[in-house]
Amino acid sequence: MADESFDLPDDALVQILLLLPTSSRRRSRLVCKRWRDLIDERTPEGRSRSKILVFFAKRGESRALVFDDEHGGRRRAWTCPCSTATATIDIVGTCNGLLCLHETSPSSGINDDGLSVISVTNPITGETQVLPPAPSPAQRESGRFGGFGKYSFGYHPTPTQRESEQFGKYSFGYHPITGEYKVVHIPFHRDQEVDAVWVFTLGRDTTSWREVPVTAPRASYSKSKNCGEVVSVDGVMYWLNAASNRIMELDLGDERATWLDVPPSVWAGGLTPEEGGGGWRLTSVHARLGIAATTTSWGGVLVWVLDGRPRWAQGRTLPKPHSHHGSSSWITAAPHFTYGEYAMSSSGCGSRTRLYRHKVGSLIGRDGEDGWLLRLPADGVAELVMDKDDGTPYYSEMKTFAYVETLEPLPGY
Amino acid sequence: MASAGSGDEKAAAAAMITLISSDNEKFEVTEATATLSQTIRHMIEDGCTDGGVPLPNVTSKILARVIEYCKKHATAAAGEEGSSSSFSDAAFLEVDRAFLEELEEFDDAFLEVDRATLFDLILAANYLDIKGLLNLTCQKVADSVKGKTPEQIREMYNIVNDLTPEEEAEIRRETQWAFE
Repeated sequence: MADESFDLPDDALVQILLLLPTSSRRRSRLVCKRWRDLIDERTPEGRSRSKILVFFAKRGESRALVFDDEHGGRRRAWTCPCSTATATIDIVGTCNGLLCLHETSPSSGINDDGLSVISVTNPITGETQVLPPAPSPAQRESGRFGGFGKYSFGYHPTPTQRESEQFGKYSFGYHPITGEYKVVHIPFHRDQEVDAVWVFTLGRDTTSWREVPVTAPRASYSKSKNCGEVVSVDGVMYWLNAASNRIMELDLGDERATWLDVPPSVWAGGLTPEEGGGGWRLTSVHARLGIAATTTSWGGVLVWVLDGRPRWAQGRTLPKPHSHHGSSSWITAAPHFTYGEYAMSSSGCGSRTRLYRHKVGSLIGRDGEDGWLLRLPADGVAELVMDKDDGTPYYSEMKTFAYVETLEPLPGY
Repeated sequence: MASAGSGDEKAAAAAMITLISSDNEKFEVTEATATLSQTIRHMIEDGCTDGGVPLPNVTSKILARVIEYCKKHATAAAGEEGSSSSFSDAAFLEVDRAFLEELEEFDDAFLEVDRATLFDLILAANYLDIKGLLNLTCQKVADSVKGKTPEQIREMYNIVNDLTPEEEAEIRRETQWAFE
C-alpha cells in the first residue's frame, strides 16, 4: 500500500524535493539515507562552498567583505550605514547566509538610554527584519515591555563603557532539527550572573522576546572582550562563565541551559582567556565547538574540539604564518576559526590588517575508536587573503565568519 | 459546408486511442487527450498504438482519474492556442481568465484524494510522463513536507530512519559546515 511507505521512484521523489524551499530541503537530509543521498546528488545546492566574511565594526559605518574561497579574491563588499553618527553596527552572527546585526549607540546621559537595535538580513536578497527591542533592565524588573526604559538599581552606564556591557550579549543561532532561527539575549548584570536569557524566534515571536529561566547552578558570563563572545554551533549556544572554568551551553531546541568544564589541559599551560595577543578563546571549528589557544612565544595555535561531550579532542600546533615586518602578533581569527578546508588567522599593526588562510584540510578525522582526533596540516604555508590599510585601525574590531551566499528567505517575512 | 464538417468528424474519430488498464478495462480517448502523456505520444509517433495501448502499471481506477485530468487540460491547451493565435479582444481575455480560474478549481478538487490515491497518481504521472500532473501531485506532497521536522516527516509517511546516530550527527554538522 502506498500509504504504508514512501514508495515512490527516485525521479518522483527528486521532483518533490526540488519543490521544497531550501530551508526545508536542507533539514530533509535527516529523514533517511535515501533522502540524504538524493538531496546531495540531485538538487542544486548539494554542498555549497563557504566563503570568508570579514566584518569591520566602525562608528558611523560598518563594512562586510566577502572573499572567494577559490582564488582568495574579494567578491563582495557591503556597507552598513548607521542611523546616527555616534552609532556602531556590529555583527552578532551568521547562519545559512543570514546575518544578524546589532546597532548600538552609547548612552550620553541620564536622560538618554542609548540605542540598541537587532536586525536580521540576507544581503543577497535584500530582505531585512528589524526585531523589537529586547526588554531593558527596568522593563524586566517591572514587567513593562515595549520601547526603551530607564536602567534600574541606580546603575547607569557612562558613555565610555563598552556597548556590550551596557546592552548585554547577543547571539544568533539555527537549530538543524526544528529549522528555527533564534536570537538569544544575555542581559547585562552587575555580578555577571545569568538567571534568565531572552529568546526571539524568527517567524514565531512577532512582537516580544520570551524570558527563558536559566536553572543551571552558578550560571554567569565572562566579561572578557574576546573569549566572552557567544559561539553558536549546531543548534547550541556556548559562552564562558565569569571564572572562565566552565562553558555554559544553551540548547536552542528545548532551551535548557547546562554547562561543561573547560578541558584541564587548557589551564595546565598557564594560559588565560585571550586579552590581546595570547591566550585562548571559544571558536567554531568545522561546526563544532572549539577552543583555540595561542601565545606569542609558541608562534602557533593549539586547538581543542568538543566531540561527544564530555570528551575533548586535542590537536597540536598549527605552524606560524610567514612573519612580516611590523606585525605585532598573530591571533586566530574569530569567532569562526575554520572555513571549508582552511584555518584563518590575522595579524595587525596600526591601521594595517592582514588575514591569512592555512590549508589544513579537515581538522577532524575519524581515527580508530577513540573519536575525533585532529590532523596536522601537511605544511604551514599561509596564503594572504586580505591586506587592508586605509588609515583606520580596524584590527581589534575585525570578526571572521564562514559564510555562504544563499537565497534563504527570512522566516515569516 | 456539410462535407467539410463531416471530414473534421472523421479526422477526430480516426484520432481516437484506446488505453487498456492493468485490470483490462478499455478507455477511448482523443489523441489530443492521450498525447499529454509523453510516453503515449512517443508510442503514437512510433505507430504502435493499433489494438490499444496496454498500461500494465496503471489500474482502471487511477487511469480514469488520469484521463479526467488530461481531458480537462487538453481542452485548456487547445483553448490557449486558439486565443493566442486569433484573438486579442478584451472579451476573450476575460473568458480566458475565467477558464484558468476554473482550471485551478478543477486542480484543487482533483487533489482531494487519500494518500494512497495521490501516490498512485504520482506513479502514473511519472510512468506516463505527464509533466503537469506530476508537478501538481508532487507539489501536494511537498506542501505536506514543508516546514515539518525530519521526525514528523517520517511519522507522516512511515519512513524508517536507517541513519545511524553517527550518520545523523555527521549530517547535522555537514549541513552546518556547508552553510555556516
